[in-house]
Amino acid sequence: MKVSLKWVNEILRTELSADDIVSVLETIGFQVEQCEKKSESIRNVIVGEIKEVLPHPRAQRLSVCTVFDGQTDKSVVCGAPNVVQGLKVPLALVGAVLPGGKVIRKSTIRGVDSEGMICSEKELFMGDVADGIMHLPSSMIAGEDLCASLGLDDTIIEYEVTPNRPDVLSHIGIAREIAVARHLSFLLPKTKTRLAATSECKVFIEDQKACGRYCAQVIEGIKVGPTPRFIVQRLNACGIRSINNIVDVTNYVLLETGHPLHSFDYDLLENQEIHVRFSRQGESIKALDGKSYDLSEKILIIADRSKPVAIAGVIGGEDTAVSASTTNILLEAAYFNPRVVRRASRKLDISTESSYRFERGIGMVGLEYASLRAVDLILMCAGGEKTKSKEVYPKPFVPVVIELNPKRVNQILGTNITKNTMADILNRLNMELKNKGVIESLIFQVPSFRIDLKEEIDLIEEIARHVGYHTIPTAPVKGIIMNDMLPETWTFQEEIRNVLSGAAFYEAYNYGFISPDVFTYIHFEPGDKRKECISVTNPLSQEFTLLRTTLLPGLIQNVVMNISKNNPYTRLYELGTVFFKNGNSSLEEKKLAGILTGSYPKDLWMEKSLTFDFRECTGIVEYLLTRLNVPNWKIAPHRIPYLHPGQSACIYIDDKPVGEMGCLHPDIHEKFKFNTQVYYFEMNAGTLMHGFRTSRPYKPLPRYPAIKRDFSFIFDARITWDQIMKEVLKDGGSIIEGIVPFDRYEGEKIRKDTYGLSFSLTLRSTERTLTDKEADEIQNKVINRLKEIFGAQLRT
Amino acid sequence: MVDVKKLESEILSQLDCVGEPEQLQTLRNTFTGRKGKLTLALRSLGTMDKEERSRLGKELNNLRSLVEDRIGALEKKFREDDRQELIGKDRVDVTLPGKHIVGGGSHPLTQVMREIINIFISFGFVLAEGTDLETDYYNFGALNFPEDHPARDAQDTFYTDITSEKDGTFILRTHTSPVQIHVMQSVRPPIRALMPGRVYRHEAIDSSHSAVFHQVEGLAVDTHITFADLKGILTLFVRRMFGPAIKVRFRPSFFPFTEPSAEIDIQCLLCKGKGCGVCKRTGWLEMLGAGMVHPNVFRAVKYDPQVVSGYAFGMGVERIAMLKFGVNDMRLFFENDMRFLRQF
Repeated sequence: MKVSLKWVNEILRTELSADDIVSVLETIGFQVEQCEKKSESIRNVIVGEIKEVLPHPRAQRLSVCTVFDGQTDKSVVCGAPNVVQGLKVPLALVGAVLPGGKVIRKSTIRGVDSEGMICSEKELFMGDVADGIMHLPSSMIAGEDLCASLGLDDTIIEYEVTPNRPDVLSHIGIAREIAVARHLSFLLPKTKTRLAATSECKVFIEDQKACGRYCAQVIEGIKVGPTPRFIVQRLNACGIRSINNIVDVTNYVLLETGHPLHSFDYDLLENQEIHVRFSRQGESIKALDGKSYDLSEKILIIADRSKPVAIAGVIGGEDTAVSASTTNILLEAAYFNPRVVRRASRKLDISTESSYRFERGIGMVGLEYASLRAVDLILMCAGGEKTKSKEVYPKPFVPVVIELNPKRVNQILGTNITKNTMADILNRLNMELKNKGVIESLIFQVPSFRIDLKEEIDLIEEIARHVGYHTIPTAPVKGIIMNDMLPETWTFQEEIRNVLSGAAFYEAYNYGFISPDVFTYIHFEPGDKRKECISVTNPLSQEFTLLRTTLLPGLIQNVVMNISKNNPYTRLYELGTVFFKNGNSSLEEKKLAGILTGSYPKDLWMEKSLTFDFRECTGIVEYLLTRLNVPNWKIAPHRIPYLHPGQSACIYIDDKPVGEMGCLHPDIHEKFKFNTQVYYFEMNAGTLMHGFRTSRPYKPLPRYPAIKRDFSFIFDARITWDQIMKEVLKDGGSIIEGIVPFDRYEGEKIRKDTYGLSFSLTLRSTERTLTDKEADEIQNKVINRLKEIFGAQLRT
Repeated sequence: MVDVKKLESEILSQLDCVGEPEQLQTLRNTFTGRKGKLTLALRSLGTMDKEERSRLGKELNNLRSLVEDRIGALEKKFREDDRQELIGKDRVDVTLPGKHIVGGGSHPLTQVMREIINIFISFGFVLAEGTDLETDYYNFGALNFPEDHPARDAQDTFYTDITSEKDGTFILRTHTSPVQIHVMQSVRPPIRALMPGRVYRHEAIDSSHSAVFHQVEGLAVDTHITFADLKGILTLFVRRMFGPAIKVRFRPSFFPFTEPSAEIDIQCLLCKGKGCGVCKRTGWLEMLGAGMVHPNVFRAVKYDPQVVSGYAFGMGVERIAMLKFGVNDMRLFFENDMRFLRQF
């Protein structure tokens, strides 16, 4: 809300400075967004009076004016066609600054000295007229500051209004709050008009819930024309353009009282009737914004006998608007149900100063004052005579009465405010004390404009606001220990983050939205629930239509981004929620996923850079599961449609699948033109958490030395490490402590469809030092078994 | 007859001249070697009479131990010189950059959330989590947002295609406050709960807006909880989070689910209250929203507002992270550029 400082001061009959008001507003809860001094951009421009106009001796289009500046005559060269002797004009003196920063200097124009400049509206940013100087009212006094004379030496204060306080969406409203805070008296400007008139106009209300009060007043014989300057100035200051005297008055009263009003051309209302009713199928209206609106859906409208003439509380119709030829008007002041107006405004997607206030709720009582005030001003600005009126007010407003227990106030606030202070604050807030003195509690009647005050807590807040939050004590923190509610999730997630930080991963955060497009390159089995996404019915864009069922699309985008920035590698994980449909409801799961591609940057003397490969990915998953102390896990080959058919595996805990890992499918590589392999793993974090233990069994450190034996075989290409390992372990029993492959060879030196594999066995007993003989025995058994089972050939 | 004095002065004068390990070896050969002068002299003792032998023997033996000590000392010195020379040669250019140590880390938003969570855990709060998809009732209705009310405008909502007769259309929660309702429905007071989570607003994404962001919500419900307690806990929190000297102010505000409501500002971290672009020249930064739990919220969860009272608060994680780290574009948190993440 924007208010004029001068206007507020006029209502309060004070001379408060902008800083005073800003500090009051902030203390009582109205955040000031901007404080703009209009006149700051115009300096040293005064009212000048043109004494004489002579043609320029050497230029046809220019004239040389003698301008009186209040003390002396100045010679000013002017190019405007509309300079006339006797006019009052804005005169920028030498040294003046115009809006936009232009500085006026003494100059010589074609041989004639010019001691300043006569300004146009445009040069002063006061209007659009550029091809002529601005004419000032003849009543202005030469030599006086232009801004002061125009009333522009004003400050516009813009403050934030929370949705519960529609009563401060006006100058009177905010002045009332300031009056309370600064202990000022406050009186509304008096009105001369009475509501009733000798005869009635025709007003019919169809639904009294939608329209609780309607005041119509008819003024006949008005003259539509320009608006007095003080009204235009104030409208301009608050950002509203002047239209004509009638419309301007209704806008002026809106800014003054906060009550939206509307004026109809009375003669254009068919049969001079007003009907407040819901729209009917097929109806439409051309509104004041120039657009046509279809009113087929039940929308509250004002209609004459046959057609809609306004959308109630939102916008008026063009056909019945006040125009230059209007002589009779009907002025509407009404109370429309906030929800009804809001629905109309949302459905039709129109928001106006009027709908903004009706949606929040206006005072049902106060609209009468606004209506009378407007009539006063219209009679003053446009002449005419009030001839008819009609008020429909079936259920008069019942004031809210609230009982306040002073003890409760201090219990909620933690204060020691006295009963008297409370009563004083509420009294200043226009609340009427209904019980004087006797009982413990105080009973207050709430003023009609405070529609936000409904129960005791609302009064407590008013007291807190007006004693000031800074006076409420800051209590020492009292702790209580709660230990029965701590969910393991956070601890577990923190453990995952620790482990993956240790594995050189950085954590990623992605938006939870994905595009339907991702399923063209991320493949799933038919029937995989990950293809059945929940959709957002009002997405921000096409890319944001679905809720993710996997973290993969986001992480792929992160790889794409990192490659585009020439980052040598991407190594990211994300702990994120995914969403599934679950009948009429939804199911959320926490997933842990990681993506890695590229290579670590090569160091000075490092022979080659380390490029991430499948085993890097396996290593991370193994490390993670080991560090999390998850029991009974394994990784086994498995075809997964979105992964490379030859490089994918499933992760199991207790033989139940909990995740997938592998190299992304070649389709994805091609789609994004990845030229290094991208590896991915995704696991169900919830299932991992079930296996997660912070306690772990300690394995005693070995006391006896180990014996190492290395082997080198040639195997058939189809034999996997898993098969080999299982066979080897059959021979050593508990003596085999470890089995590690250390070389793998495929190439010219050996037959096609075979590969060379070297591995080493670590043999150790927990009870004694092993002998070479024992080691030899195991070695021979392993050799024989591998030869026998796989037809492996010992390499020499 | 052996002239011990002469032999002694000869040896000592030669010892004084030894400068190289080779000279020491020559000297050793000349005097203490198998055919050295001192060895021969000692050997000749056997041919002497008893008295002579004992006198000369003592003198010669004294001379021998003196010489051996001196030789030993010189040998030690030469060895030490060699060692020092070797050590001296073993140099690296210490100004070369260190090797690339491959590390990892948590996301900056996690780090800020962790800091907030740890502070409140130290105050006796416990963590609670909700779901991102919520019903209109939990997100708005139970939190005292009237239907068709402009208070809902500030929280532009994403709707989904999940609808049920009982719950209406599921929405993406616009704040973490619905978790308050879930917590109060599942336990009885006293409650001290902290509820971090992801929230969604239908807002175009730019440097200072995000359709997805994170909040941390707090709730305390008990008998005799006051606004002064709220001021106490949030003042302490802000001081732990931003430093003990930071100035805090509480301003009246409005949230449908709290009353009285407050906005908590801290002194601008950048200009220290003098006024700068970040604080819009006010010297203050909005940090938290808070207030006393509204009686209607208690009624919604069947608590008696005459018996219990409570406070609730909420803060935006991205905002705190941006101020704390000086990040000026919110989108950076969701781009996951390795160069960005490595800085935290």
